[in-house]
Order: sequence, then structure tokens, then C-alpha cells
Amino acid sequence: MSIISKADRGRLARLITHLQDNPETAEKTVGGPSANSKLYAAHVVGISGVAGAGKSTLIAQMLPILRNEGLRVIVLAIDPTSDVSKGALLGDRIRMRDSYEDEGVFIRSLATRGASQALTVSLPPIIKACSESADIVIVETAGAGQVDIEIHRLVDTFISVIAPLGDAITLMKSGQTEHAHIIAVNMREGLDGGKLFLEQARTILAPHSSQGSWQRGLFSLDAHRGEGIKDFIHQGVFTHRDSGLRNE
Amino acid sequence: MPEKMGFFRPDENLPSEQTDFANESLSSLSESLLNQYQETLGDPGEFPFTRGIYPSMYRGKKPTIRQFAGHGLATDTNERFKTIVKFGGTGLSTAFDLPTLMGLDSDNPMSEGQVGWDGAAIDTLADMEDLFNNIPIEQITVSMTINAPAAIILAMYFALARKRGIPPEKLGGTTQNDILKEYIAQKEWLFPVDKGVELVVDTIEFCTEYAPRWHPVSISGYHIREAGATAVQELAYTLSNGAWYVRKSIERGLDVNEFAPRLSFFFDVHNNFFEEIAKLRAARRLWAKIMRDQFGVEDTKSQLCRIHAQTAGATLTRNEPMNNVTRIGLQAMAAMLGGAQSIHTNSYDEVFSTPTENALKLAVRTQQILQEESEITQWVDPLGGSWVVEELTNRMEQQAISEMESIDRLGGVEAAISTYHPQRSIHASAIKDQRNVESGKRKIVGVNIYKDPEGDTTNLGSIMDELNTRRGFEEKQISRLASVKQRRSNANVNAALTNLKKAARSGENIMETLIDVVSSYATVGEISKALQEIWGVYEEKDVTLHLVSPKELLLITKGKRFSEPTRILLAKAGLDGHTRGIWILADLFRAMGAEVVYLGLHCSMGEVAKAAVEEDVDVIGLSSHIGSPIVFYSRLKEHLAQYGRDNIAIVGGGIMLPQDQLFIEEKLGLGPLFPPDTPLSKIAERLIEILSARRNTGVATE
Repeated sequence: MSIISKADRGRLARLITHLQDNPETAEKTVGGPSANSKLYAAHVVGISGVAGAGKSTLIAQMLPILRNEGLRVIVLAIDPTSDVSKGALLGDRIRMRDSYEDEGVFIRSLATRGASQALTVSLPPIIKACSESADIVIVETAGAGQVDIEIHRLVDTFISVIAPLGDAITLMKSGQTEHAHIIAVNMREGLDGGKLFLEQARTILAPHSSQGSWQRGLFSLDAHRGEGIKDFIHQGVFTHRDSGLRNE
Repeated sequence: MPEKMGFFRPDENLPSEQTDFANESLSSLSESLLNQYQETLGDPGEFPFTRGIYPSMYRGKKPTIRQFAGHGLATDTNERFKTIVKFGGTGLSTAFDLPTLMGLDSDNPMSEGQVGWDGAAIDTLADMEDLFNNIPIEQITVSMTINAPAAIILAMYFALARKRGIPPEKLGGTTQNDILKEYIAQKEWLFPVDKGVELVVDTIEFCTEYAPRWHPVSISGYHIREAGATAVQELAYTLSNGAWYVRKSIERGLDVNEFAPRLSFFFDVHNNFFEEIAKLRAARRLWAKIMRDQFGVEDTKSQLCRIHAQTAGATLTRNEPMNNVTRIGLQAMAAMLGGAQSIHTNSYDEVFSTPTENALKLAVRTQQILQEESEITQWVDPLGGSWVVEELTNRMEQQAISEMESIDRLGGVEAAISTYHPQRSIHASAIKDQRNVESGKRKIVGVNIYKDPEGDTTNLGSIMDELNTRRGFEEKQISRLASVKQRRSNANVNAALTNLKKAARSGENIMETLIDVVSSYATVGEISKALQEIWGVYEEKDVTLHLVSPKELLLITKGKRFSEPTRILLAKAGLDGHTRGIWILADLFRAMGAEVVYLGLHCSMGEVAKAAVEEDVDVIGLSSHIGSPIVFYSRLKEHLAQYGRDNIAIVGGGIMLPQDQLFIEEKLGLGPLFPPDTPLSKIAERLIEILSARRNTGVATE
């Protein structure tokens, strides 16, 4: 299986730090403009959703499946910087602990550092740099929900993770799934009304895609128990990657 | 003047507006004592047992001196048992090492540096045979501090008895086996919560039928308290857990009057003398009422809260350790005045390691002096009727009830654990207490008050000499395990493990199958892993942080902050689950402006290094309380070097011997290391210095 070498790992990590600490020169450092997914060497997946929707848990479940395909994966997990202390607790990584040892996985936690839209400063150059050392780059947003849809401009496949709460119409109104290529409905044990929500979402959200000729996919899965993840990756993420429609 | 009535509370466990013990309260109390004597107090030995579970208490039977012991190989612990009996100890209590407690074998990579460190290493039945060699197990009672793999260890004890021709009904003793408090506080778990509880009920069911003298569960508040809980939280969560086991056992179809008489409790006894006495009295009253009112139990034997008490490890100080002798003496006295049935007195040197022989002797002598010289044992509930003690008992009970109700509202103990409510509440209390220590509000003699300006002049020579002889267990145990594995029939082991998985899948009681499995000399690790394949594993993922505002936390550092950006990785070494300190640091460092990555429990040093490299942190903070710090720090350094990143600073803290600290700082060139008692303000200050020095010299940017 392909891995990211120890030397590459250290070098890339230092480069990310440099890019984040020096946003004004970051684009130049990575050799030109980078806020366009066509420029990436790897397939870049953005994962968004409100706090608690299950983004990190979903990524944790995706990692072993992607690794089974022989893909090297970099995860960029963004967490909010506190506007009071300017500090941050970067807590997404802990959910991916089953992949801590995997030499083909690289996890980097990033704080938003005052960037808007639940992203982080220098994110496009950072993605570009990472795309040269991996086959898949997954960007997990800070979970601010409606505002972090900005991420869709920076990635190839944009996934919105939603929990079956409230009703699907409210969700459509909120606009948080508007740009999604794929909607992952994270079903959780004990949440009553989940099935109804799923049907509503399938009927209401799935057809109204703003993503050109791509037919938006909607997948129900259980991130906690790892159910439905394979289908989500193969029929969702990979199908979108291979469709040629990714940058429409 | 209310204060002069003798009721002034320096502590914050009880609401401060109640600190006035006014005359009206006195008269209402006196009225209630007289009018409701039967319901609130009762004579000793009578419902609700506030005054004690036996009519004559210590006149009839003195508290058992039950000292917890174990280190090294089973043979070493066997020697230690014989020493305790020689000193006059009247009960045995086995400490298992951390790998055993975590269901791992001594040769598992995650066990490195921890085998035999703080208890006996038990891998197979062969070790159990050594542990009780020449000890007549049908004549003594033995207590075993084991939780997640308790069913496996108990099965080994029954298998040992079977080999000696002793039927299980002749065996007396206790397994701690309280898995709920593991999820809440001590963090030594194996299976998801519901499966963990089902396994406990398996042992209750099995013992009820075949080993009626065995106490399958000792419901423990000790670890909850040591993790930072208040006395009220300790009381509330412990009794909630106890009631949960009763409920689950009844749901299994067991007769409550058959198993309830063999439930027992284990409480911590801290420094706050009267509060601790009140806690034990309130525990008995509350438990009796729970059993009567919630479970309809009328038989008094099923209503008794039998108490084992241990002095509080968290109150011991590393600075001027001889002061601990006095603390332990006072705590043991509180345990006796509170009516405990058995008591463990800590050894004053436990802040360094598992006790040395002389310290253990002093701990036993402390109890003997209390029992034989003070004449305390001549009096039954001598503090009963004291205004202070009765009022404190009432308040303790009321506040515990209110916390227990919040557990019920969350859907019971298992559901509450999954919402992290008790874990968060305990952590919030721990932070509050830490701030009181930092500010000097809670006084610790020799640490934040009356600190000797000459420094600590205690001569630790003989302690260190003895501890230095305790090396090399790991190699010995690993080779012993290898030879056991060579002698056994692997075909038998595999067949037994297959049977076990079948039983685990079916949902039937697995105890009998377990006895067969351990008899094949299958290891604790093999058995735990087989069960995890069927039942799954437990992981604590949501860290309980952000309980205090950054502004308040910055009071600790007097407003000092890190320069931005600063990135810090916090990690635990080995299998140790003491997160109180590291969680507080995570909050504090965040408040100081750092980006903090916390890795969670049970990471290998290879995983810590990989994460540190990927996260490109400025500094790694490593916390270790159990196991060899030299092993942890040198491994971490080696792994970082493989990435060419051994320029990342490594600091750390936790329990370690002074000579180990010196080795790590001087020979390995790491640190500084911060032993327990180091104020957070000092840690923060040193870290700011170190990081700015590295920035200025360019070390961190190379």
C-alpha cells in the first residue's frame, strides 16, 4: 500500500505551518494561484455540516475504506479559534484515532485564526500543497453550518453532512445543502422520525441541485456504527470524482 | 454568632449561603432529631443505619485492616501478602498492574514500561497459581481490585480453586468489578457501557448461584473522588451506580434478597474531617432508603451499605512527604468515626511509587494505634447527635439526592455516561479545586503554606534504594508468559476461545465458559480481544472541556499568554487514564492563546510522535502517572528522530521518581518535567520562557 514517507510527512507539516503563519506570501510559496480545484493534483473533498452532525466521525470511517483502495489520504480538520482567547482546542483528530498509526494517512488540525466562513487562513495554498503528497485530500470545516458553504469553491466534491433533525424543508430554506454534490444523512440510533426525515430529504433536497448536470446524491449512513459508508464512498464520492462533472 | 456554634465551612462542596449555622436551624434540627429519630437515624444496627450497620459496631468487630498490595510478578506479590499478614494485616487485597487492568498481556507493545509497575502482572492462570501459592484460599478472604476484566480474573480464581479441589461456595472475597465508575472516572474499560454492565450482572448471577460467600461488586466512589469530584458527587454517583446494578440484576431475573446482602461500597476519605464522616453516615441512610423505597426490599441484610474506606491518595504531597503520615492518620480516624467496616491506610510514599515495605508497615501501624490505643472502638457512633455532624449528614443526603435525580432525568446511569454529564461535572469540580489551591484558598501545608524556605530536606535515600530494586519485572514476566504459551495446547486455547465467542454472541451468562477458557491457559489479552470482537470497544471521544471561561483561567497565570501562534500537543503516556491534570492544562493553554491538540487515551509513543510531526507543534506535553517515564520519554525521542523532528520540545509531568526525572532531564536532554504539586502558574510561566527562548534562538523554526 502506498504511504507518505517520514521525510515527506515532516516537510509537508512544516510547509503547512509556514503557509498558515505567512498568509500574504502563501500563494507565491506554492507557485501561483490556488483557489481553483482544477489546479490540484489530488481529488479534494470538502465536508461541511453543523457542529455535532458527525463530520469527524464520518471521516474516521471513510479512512480505512479509502486506504483499502490504496489511496493516500490527507485530512485537514478545521476547528474554530476562540475570539476571546485567540486559542483553539483542536479536537477532531481524536475521532480518527483508529488511523493514528497508518503511514498512508496524514491528519492536520487547523484553527480558523480569524478567517471567515469557518475556513482557515491560507486554506487554498494549503490544499494545493497537500494535493501533491496524497491521492485524496479531505477538508473538514469548522462546523459553522450555513456559512461554511464557501468551501464548495475550493473543492472537487462538496459533501454536506446533516443529522435527521427538524424537517427537510427547513433544511432547504437554510441553504446549507444548496451547493452540495452529495448529502450524507447521518442517521443515529434513537432519533425518532429519522425515517420520515430521510424520505422528505430524498424527495425535497435531492432533485434541486445547483450543480449543473450532476444528479445530487443522497446517502443515509450511520457514521457512529460505520454503516452505509462503503456505498457512500463508492456510489457517491467516487462516482462524482469519475463523472467528469466535478468542476461544473 | 453563628460561626462560634462550630459550623464554619471553608470548602465549597456545600453552597456558601448555607455556611451560617443559625439558631433557627439548630432548633429545627433538634426537633427533627427527636421527632424523626427512627426515620432519620435509628439505633445502630437499625434502619436507616445512619449510626452504623451493627448494634455494637467496633465493640463487636474492629474494622478490617485491608491493605491493597501488589507489584512485580505474581511471586513478588505473594511475598508481599505474607509480609502484610506478618505485620498484622487482617485481609488481603490485590493490586493488578495496569496492563492487566486494561485486559492486555505483558508482551503487548502498549504494555511497555508498565508491566508489574503498580500491581501484579497476571497474564494466565499460571500467574494466579503463583499469586496464591501456599495461601489457603478457602480460609482467607481476598479482595481484588480489578474491573473491566474482573470476570476473567474471577474465573481464574475459581479455576485455581477447582484445581485445588475447593468448591466455589467455600471461597470468600470481593472483586471490585464496578465498571460504571470506570467510564465515569478511572477510565480502565474494555467494552461498550451496556456490555460492561451485562458482564457485571453475569458475575452477580454466577456468584449468587455458585459462590454465595463472594462479594461480586464493590461499588466505588474512591476513583470518582480522586478524579476531582466533591464529596457530594462521590456519594451521588456511587449510589446511582449501585442502584443501577441492582436494577439490572433484577431485570435479569435475580432475587434482590439473594444478591443485595453481598453488595458492598468503597469510599474515599479526604481531609475535610466532619464532612467525610457525614458522607459515610449519609451513604448508609440513603442506600437503605433506596433499597426500601425503590426496590421494595424489607430484609435489613439487603438494606445495608457496607463500607470499605481508603484514605485519599490525592491529598498526599510530594513535598515534605512525612506530612502525609499525619494526613493519613486523620483520614483513617474519620473513616472509623464514620463507621467503615474495613479500611486501607495509604502509605506516605505513594506519591513516588507503589509503597515501600517500611511505609506499608507505618500505614498498618496507624490503624493499629487507632484501634488499640485511642479507644475509639469502644464507642458506637460517638458523633451521633452532634449538631454539626447531623446537619452535615442531612445536607449531604439532600444534595446527593438532587444530583441523583439529575442522573435519572438523563435516563439513568448508562445514558448519563453517554452524555458525559458525570464526567463533565467531576472535571468542573477538579478545575475549581485546582484554582482554590493556586489561589491559596485551599491550604496545603508544605506546598502552598508553611513551605520551608530551605526547601524540602526529607531524606528519601532508603525509599529510593528499595524502589531501585524494583526493576526488570517486565523482561521476566514476558519470558514467563512465553514459556507458559509454549507449554499449553494452542488447539485447546483456540477451541475454548471459539466457545467463548459463541457464548458471548448468544447473550448467555459467560462465567462458566470463562472458567473453562482460563483453564486452557488462554491469556487475559486473548480473552479480552475475543470478547471485544463480539461486543465492540469503548472509546471516550468527547473531551470535557470549556467548563471555565478563558478570562477566569487567565487569573491563574496573572494574564500571561503565549505569543501567537503557539501549537501544543498534549498526550497521555501508556495506558494510564489520569486525565484531571492534562484536561485542565488543555483548557488553560487554550485560554493562553495556544492551539491545543489532545490525542486522547492509550496512544503509543509512535502515534504521539507521528501526530506531533503532522501537527507541527512547538511542544509536546506528556503526562504519565503509571509506568516507567524513562521508557516513555526515550521512545518518544527515538520516534521523533526518525522523522528528523527531535527538535520538537518535550515537557511533561506526573508521578515519577526524582532520579528518573533527573535522567530524563539531564541524560535525555528533555523537559523540564513538572512533578505533582507544581502550581499551574509555574508550568505556564516556564513554558512561555522555553518557547520564547527557542524562538529567539531559531530552534523551532529550523
